[in-house]
Amino acid sequence: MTREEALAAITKALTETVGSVDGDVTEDTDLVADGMLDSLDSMTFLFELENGLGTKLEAIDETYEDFRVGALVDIVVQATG
Amino acid sequence: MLATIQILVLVTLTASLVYWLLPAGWVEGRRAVLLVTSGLLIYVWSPETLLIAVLTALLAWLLYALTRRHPRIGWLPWLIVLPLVVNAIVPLGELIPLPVGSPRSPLLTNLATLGLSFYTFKLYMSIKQGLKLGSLPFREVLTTTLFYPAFPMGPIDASQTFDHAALSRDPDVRRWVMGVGRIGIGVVKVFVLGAWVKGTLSVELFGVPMERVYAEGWDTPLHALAFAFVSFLYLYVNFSGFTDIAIGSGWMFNLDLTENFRFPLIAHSIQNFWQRWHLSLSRFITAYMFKPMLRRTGRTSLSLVVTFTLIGLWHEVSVGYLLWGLGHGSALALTTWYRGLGRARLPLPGPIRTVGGIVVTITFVSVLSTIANQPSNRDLARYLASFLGVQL
Repeated sequence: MTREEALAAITKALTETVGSVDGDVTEDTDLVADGMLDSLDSMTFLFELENGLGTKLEAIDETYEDFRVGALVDIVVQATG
Repeated sequence: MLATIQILVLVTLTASLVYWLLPAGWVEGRRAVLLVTSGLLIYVWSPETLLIAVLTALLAWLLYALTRRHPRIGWLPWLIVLPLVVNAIVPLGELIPLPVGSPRSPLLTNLATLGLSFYTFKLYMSIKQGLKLGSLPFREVLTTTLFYPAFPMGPIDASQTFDHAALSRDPDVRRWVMGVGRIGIGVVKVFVLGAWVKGTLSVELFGVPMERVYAEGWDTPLHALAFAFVSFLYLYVNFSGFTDIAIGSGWMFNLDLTENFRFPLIAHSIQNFWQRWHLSLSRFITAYMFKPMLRRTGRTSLSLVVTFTLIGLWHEVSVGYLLWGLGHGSALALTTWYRGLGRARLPLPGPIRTVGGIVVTITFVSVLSTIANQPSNRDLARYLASFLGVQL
């Protein structure tokens, strides 16, 4: 998966979680710090992301806290080859 | 009670000074100061409490070792809740053999499991983080279990808060002074503000102090609602005050305990409430209960309701706390579901929406909290009936 495709998958999972997204999601966005997700949403978001990708993201365990989109794109690209 | 706090403050001042007299390189000496002080204080409070806490810490360490050996058995760390489950059936204090003829105070039996709910979750977190890091020394497990300022009611921190790096920090006078100040804030909350809410305010509103309101009952729905606000305010002042004392004590040893409250009385939604109330529990719930359950069931609403119901029963196995868990879980599920629909918010000006949100949220959580904390099922029935204007 390319970085653009990974970003699209992240945006889709975000929309599935919170309904609608205000503003653009870029690799510089921090989903939690920028107020798009709260702690509960963040877990639902990760679930939606794994669901959408059809694979479990091994780099993300229950204590995962880095919600910078750039970091998430890295993880998705690595997991999907 | 105030005398107890004075003793605790004095002990903390002395222990922290002894702690800082030891060189940073002598970490285990510093740990010994924390363990001996905590162990002695808990022993004086109730020897059974100390015994149960040490045995539970040992169980946690054994579960960690077992899970490392058998990593495929993912549920093994959850066996740490066994003492809690057993205690819900038979109070653990009653299972401890005393010499023949020893008097057994019912109060002592209750105290025997003081803090058990909190250190159970601390220990679960410690096991999980230990597995992640590949190391969990028993001395760290014991320190997180016994550290006396956080022993009775948290915050919920893993044993890594007391690891080698944390205990080898240099003395920090500024933090030590801030710790003393934070303890002062906690003492004022608990003994001045809390006493005012429980006494003066309650007498002003209900004619009797708060604890007697349960016996007197509630005449009207408004009366019951007003009582919910007052008792929730008391809970917040008391709980956050004790948390201030715990965090301030931690600072005196240059240790970082998790902040537990962020102005929960201005929460504008139920989701926002859980980002402000009992944060260490909220983090535990999200990471270790909600997320694994969501992965298993694939259903957000179901996972929320089940998770919060279990958390309700973790507080206490009672009808009140069952309703508390179902209430919080259902409200979170409902708001999450509604937000997921992507519908527009209510067409109201922002400030009105925010104030309205605060009123609805605080009313909801206050009533649920008051339901949960009713002393008996009969009191609970009377309280619920009073909302319908019925006197039982």
